Amino acid sequence: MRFLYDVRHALRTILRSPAYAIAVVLTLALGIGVNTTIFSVMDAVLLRPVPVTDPDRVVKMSPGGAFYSTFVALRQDSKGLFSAMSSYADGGANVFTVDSTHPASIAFVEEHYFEVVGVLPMRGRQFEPSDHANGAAPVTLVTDTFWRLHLQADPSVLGKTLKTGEAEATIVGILPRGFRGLALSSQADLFMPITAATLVTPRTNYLADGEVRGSSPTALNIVGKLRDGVDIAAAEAAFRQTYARHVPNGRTISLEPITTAALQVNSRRDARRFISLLATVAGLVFLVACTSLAGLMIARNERRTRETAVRAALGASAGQLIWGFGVETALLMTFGLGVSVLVSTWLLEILGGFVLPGRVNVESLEIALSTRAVLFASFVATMAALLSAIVPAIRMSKVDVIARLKSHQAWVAERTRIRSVLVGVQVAIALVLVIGAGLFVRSLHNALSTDVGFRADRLAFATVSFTEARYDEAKQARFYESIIDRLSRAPGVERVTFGNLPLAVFAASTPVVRMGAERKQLSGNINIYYCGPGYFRALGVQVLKGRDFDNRDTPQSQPVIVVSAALARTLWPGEDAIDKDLSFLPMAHNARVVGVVAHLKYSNLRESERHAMYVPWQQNRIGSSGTIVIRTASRPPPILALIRAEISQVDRALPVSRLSTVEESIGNLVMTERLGASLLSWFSALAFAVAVIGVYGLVSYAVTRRTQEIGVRIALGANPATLIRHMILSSAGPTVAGIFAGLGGGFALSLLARPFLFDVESNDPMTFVVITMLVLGSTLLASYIPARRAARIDPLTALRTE
Amino acid sequence: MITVSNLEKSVKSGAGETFLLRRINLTIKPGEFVSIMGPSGAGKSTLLHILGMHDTDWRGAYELHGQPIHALKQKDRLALQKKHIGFVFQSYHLLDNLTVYENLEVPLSYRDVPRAQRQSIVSDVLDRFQIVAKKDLYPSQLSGGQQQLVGVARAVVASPAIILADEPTGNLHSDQAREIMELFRKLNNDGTTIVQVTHSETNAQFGNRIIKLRDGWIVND
Repeated sequence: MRFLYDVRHALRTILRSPAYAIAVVLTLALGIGVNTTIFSVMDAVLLRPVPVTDPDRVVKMSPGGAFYSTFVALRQDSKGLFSAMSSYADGGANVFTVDSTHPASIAFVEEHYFEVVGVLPMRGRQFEPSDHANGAAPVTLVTDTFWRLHLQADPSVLGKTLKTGEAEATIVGILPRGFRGLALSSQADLFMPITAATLVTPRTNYLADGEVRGSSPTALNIVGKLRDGVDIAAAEAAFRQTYARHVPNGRTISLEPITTAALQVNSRRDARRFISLLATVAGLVFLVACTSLAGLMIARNERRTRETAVRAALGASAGQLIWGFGVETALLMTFGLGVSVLVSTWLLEILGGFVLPGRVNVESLEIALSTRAVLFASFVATMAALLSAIVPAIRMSKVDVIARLKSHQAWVAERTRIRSVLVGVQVAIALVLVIGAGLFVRSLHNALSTDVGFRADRLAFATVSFTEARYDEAKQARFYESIIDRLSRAPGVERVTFGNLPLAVFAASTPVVRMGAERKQLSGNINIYYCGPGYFRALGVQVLKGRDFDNRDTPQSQPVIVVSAALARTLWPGEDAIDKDLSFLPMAHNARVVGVVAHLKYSNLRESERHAMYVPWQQNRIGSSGTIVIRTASRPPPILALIRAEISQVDRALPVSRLSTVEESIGNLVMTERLGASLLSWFSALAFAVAVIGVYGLVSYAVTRRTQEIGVRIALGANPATLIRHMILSSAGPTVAGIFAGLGGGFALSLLARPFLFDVESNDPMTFVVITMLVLGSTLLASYIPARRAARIDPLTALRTE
Repeated sequence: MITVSNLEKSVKSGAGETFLLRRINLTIKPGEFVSIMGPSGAGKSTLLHILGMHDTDWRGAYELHGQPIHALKQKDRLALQKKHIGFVFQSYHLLDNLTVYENLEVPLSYRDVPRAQRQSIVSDVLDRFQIVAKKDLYPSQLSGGQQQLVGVARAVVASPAIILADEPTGNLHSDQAREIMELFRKLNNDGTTIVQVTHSETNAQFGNRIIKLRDGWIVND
């Protein structure tokens, strides 16, 4: 009953100050919401990336890549280590639903895969041994995501068939929400027996033998579940020996816990570092929220000084006073926690549009606020309350009753000190975050203004899949001819061509041999781009020498090739590359160089100049898919629907697996910079506002507190400018200290952010100087406004106040 | 009831020490109505706050009902304060966001009095002080005299044996002041020991003993 009485009183007290309550709840919600969101991302990427049973016992062989026969032999000889062992490969195919085509990621899994991961379908059945037999009718388990997004969450899909690649697969089960395989960078939509791969994508046979190549599509990933009592280090040592026995000249392998292996080896460090950066930023936001809360609480307590003193004089013990504050704070905290769920949901939705380093698509993680996240939020809320409310309450409960009843100067001085410290911390954090934001914004600007070697604006493209539509080369040629003809006549279209598209549709690579008197084979493979007529003109690539491809380049004419300037320099240093001959796979004949083009960015914006060659598709008719490239007169989006419609007019059955713009593709390449710039800009703006308000409040408070003194100074002849300078300088200590601390913090943050910056040094002097001046200028302005008020005080009124 | 021996209170001032109270020896018997008088800065309020246990920073001996306050821990002092002492302030110090009824309820809630009992006690006090009609009003809706009436009611609601009043009529007109002093006399007649600080000779005459302080010393008792 006593508790209810206290709650009722606390509620009434809160309701009597709605502005204060709203400010506290929103500040709490923001601090908790941001941290819960980042914790959820951290949980989903680093702590519990894959929802398997007994994750500590599930291990993956690293590096991956073994033939099926090797896997079978390894399993046979490792029975003492693993209770179950399996293999899988990440593949893909177009999936045809009633109304559209979707490019789907498919995990082709060996028979014991689900035994290893310990995941059961939430509907339908598991794969049966007969499903894995060679020649068995294809079956599939669909992920919850695919079921909801593309099958309308229809429970009756079980037993129905789904056209997957070139096969009709029967849906036998729906997997539980959250399980999409064992790699965060390639989240599966469908699971199928590995034996079905040849039916879905006939060129793929994971069961065939051959030479092991690291990233070859024929290589399998091996996973196993350690037996009870088997230590991972011991298992690794034993398994390494077994592997060496079966693959004598193979690489040194290791067994990685599945939680580690879920991130790609080469981007694991970057992913962790970026999440650490996010966590640091979230921590700083939390600190800003706490200091802001503490400021609010102090201001509130200040107004309640007399009330607290009276309560103490009436017999309230320190415990009772703290309890009273505690109940009030707990209520506000509960409201803040409730609103923070909304903030988290909103932030997760925003983060869903981004891709983390390591190709971790946040949206595909389907992060939901879990019990762990809510527990974490509660912990954060408690910390926030302890730091911001209870500590000031304890301090207040200990202060001399008489002093408070008389508004003793010592008590006022203590409040001023605390406020000064808070403002100093706020300025420091604001500076750190604004520096971080400045670095990322500059990075994003640099990335987006990078010269990619062609005009990326107003360039749309559509990728069609010829394999499923069973197009032969002649039919592909007719399709290109027809679609170019139709789209060229469409309104708003400037040029149409087809071919691989740098930064959007990635190219194959092949070994190259310089022909002529001195044959020379280049080490490594060279990217090869298949192009339609007018390819370079449509893309806006500068042809340095020679010509673009055109209708002269036919299967019957002299095979021709265009090379990048870098390749020309390497193969024919100091010579003109035009009319020189090259040989490359799969061409049977030499190709003659007819053009040299400027350097393009091919796979990412950070790459330096590299070798590339371009060949006319008419003379090299290969490809299971094709990309139509359209240069438009205006921004592309309105044209996308038209492109789809025109393709459909040519052949309704031809699946369009991708329809987008090059600008969007480039946008995907700068996700890290964009995410950093977006988050840091928002958070720094917030921290900046809190700091400026804090400085304003500090000076304003000083003016109010020193009204009488200012009155005396004016009465003694102080002029306004002197007074303003005096007020600004006497409150400048926290700002200056905050700026020095913030510069140090900003430098530390920039070191953490360094791998993600684009053409910006982490200690970029321009960013540091400009932002420091900005923060200093803003805080000076925030000081000036209340200081000016001091200069306008009427000395008579001020002296009468006391 | 109250025995104070060699009580001293000082504050640091620069390198030295300024004494606010010097060698105070004092005994107050149950049922007395004592008025402490003296010029500003004589130490009247300081002495009252020490007797009320709001101030803990002093030297000497202080016994209340035979309990050596000087030797007790703060927690035990607080328990004795809650049990025996009620306080009336010059500026009333009612809690602005609580009604008259709730202001009277506050001291009882700090003494863990059950709700039903609190209701009964507060109703009784409201009746005794004839402020039933004001019970749902907030302090800002009352006159100064009415606020101090509530202040006195709040001081007696927990039935303390002693009421300490720090210039209780300092902010009131003479008519209102007389009413409050009559009220103190009535409470004193009913057995409550009263110690008030006052500048007013008239108000001091309501009591039966006057102690005069000057510069921290008792100069007349």
